Amino acid sequence: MTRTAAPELRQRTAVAQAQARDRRHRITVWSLRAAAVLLVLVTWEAVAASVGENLLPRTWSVLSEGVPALVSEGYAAEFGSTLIRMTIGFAIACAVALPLGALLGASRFWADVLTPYAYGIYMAPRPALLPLLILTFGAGATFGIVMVLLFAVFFPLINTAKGVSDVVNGPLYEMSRSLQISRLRTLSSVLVPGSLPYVIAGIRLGLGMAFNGILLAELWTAYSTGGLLQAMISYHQLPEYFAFAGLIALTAVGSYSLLGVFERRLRRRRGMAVTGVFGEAA
Amino acid sequence: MPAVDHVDHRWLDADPSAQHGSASVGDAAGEGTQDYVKLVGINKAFAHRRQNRQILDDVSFSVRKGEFCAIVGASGCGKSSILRIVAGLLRSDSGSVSVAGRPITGPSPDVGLVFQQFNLLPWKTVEENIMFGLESLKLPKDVKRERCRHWMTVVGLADWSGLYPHQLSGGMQQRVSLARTMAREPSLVLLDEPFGALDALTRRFLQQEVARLWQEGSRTGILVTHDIEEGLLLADRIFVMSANPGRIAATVEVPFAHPRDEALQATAEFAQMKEHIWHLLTAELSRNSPFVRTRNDPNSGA
Repeated sequence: MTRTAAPELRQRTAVAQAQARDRRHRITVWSLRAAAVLLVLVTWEAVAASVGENLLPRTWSVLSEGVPALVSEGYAAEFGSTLIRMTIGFAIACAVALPLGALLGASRFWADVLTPYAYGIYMAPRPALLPLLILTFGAGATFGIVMVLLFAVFFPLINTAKGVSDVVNGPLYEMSRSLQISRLRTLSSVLVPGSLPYVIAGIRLGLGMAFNGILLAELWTAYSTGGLLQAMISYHQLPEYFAFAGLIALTAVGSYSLLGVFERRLRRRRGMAVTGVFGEAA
Repeated sequence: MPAVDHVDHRWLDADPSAQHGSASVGDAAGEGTQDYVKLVGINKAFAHRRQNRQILDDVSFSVRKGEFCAIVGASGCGKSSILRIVAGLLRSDSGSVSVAGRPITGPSPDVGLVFQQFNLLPWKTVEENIMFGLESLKLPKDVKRERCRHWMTVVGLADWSGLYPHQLSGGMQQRVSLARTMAREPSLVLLDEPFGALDALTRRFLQQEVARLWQEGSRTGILVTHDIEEGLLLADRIFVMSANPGRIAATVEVPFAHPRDEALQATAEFAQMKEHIWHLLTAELSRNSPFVRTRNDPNSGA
């Protein structure tokens, strides 16, 4: 009995020790992250105390005056309408980027023809196009949507191209061909699952760019959320301003993290290297 | 003088076409013992921008039905390209390939390919990967399931059917890959360095498994390897390839009876055969590279 129990016990102990090490690592990481937030808050308080609330409101003022105003003054609702425009622009960007990226990844000919233009979109100084775009689309909702499209299209496009190219020129596609699997089945069983982690990573990066695009557009034209932010600064409503900016930042980070959770699940199921929600080692 | 001149040439047939070229492609529609697989004058070059490279130059050989042949050559000599051409995955620039008398124009259910890197779908389980291999065959679903179960048992993975590839060792993954190909019951199995990515112990174990499978069924097989011992343990004939461009430099008949085990590896005959093929390979390498010299080459200074 003891002869069989001893190795099992050793195994259990080894596993428990490894789990404890992993737990300690996670606790340390999260503690340091929390400490960093605390450090920022303490620094904020110290700076606010020294420069005065006219330049930087205390954190308590932001929480007690700014946060309730988000709802009572309708700022959050306005931000909601901005998010809807951003979502429309981002959906259009994905609708353009994913099929085009798939084409670039699957066809060497089209990759040779179109890749310089894809990188051109990324490298071009997009803010320089702002006056032209306002002239063309006006200073309203359409302009914001076009800006999101221009800002967000690159990463889903390039990542999809990379994912599809890796599969099409890789061993799994050749294996599928050698087994005479139909094109449709190869698409659903090999191409889509194989390239999906790349596509999701591209969508995550594109989402960050979409937030940048919509905010730049609305700040430039003082429209909706951008207009509110400018007004808060003009009327010196600093607690409201910081609460609103915090809401925007939390929404961006939250949506990025949600996609990160989805990407992690996909990667884990495929036996691929898994990183944390923010791309850190996990 | 290259060392090849000092070895016993009794197994050497330096002109492969002289031995196998006499049988025609249409000989009993290729179903007879001669020329089950026949390659005639295969040429292949790759061109990308300004870099042109001829991979294969006038490659001709044939494999009899039920025979297991090995292609041995240095890395980059084009041996895997030959397999891909026979598998219908790559087109030759000129020449012809036929299996069972039928010209190869694309992948065929008669030809199965086992890859070096296993090429399992990471998002499918062991069972699903083997079933994936059967998808294109027009068979009733229960027959496919039965074949899948049978081959999982044959390769010893029946208890692991629900696991994903990343939960398996390299040897187990290669057994899944082998089962996926064998479950299709192809008449010709091509093995592209199937043990190249495995450790020595697992490699030896799987070599024995493959040898056992070949003894149990009358399959025709072509193995690509750079391991001479592996070729000698498994093959009835070995084609020695030269590089730049790839050519069949010599054909060697392996005289040992099956099954071949560790005891055979310890014999003088086995060592002599290994030495013989090694000399053929190094002679070819020294002819193509200024950096490689064989032992008896007076210019080598050895």
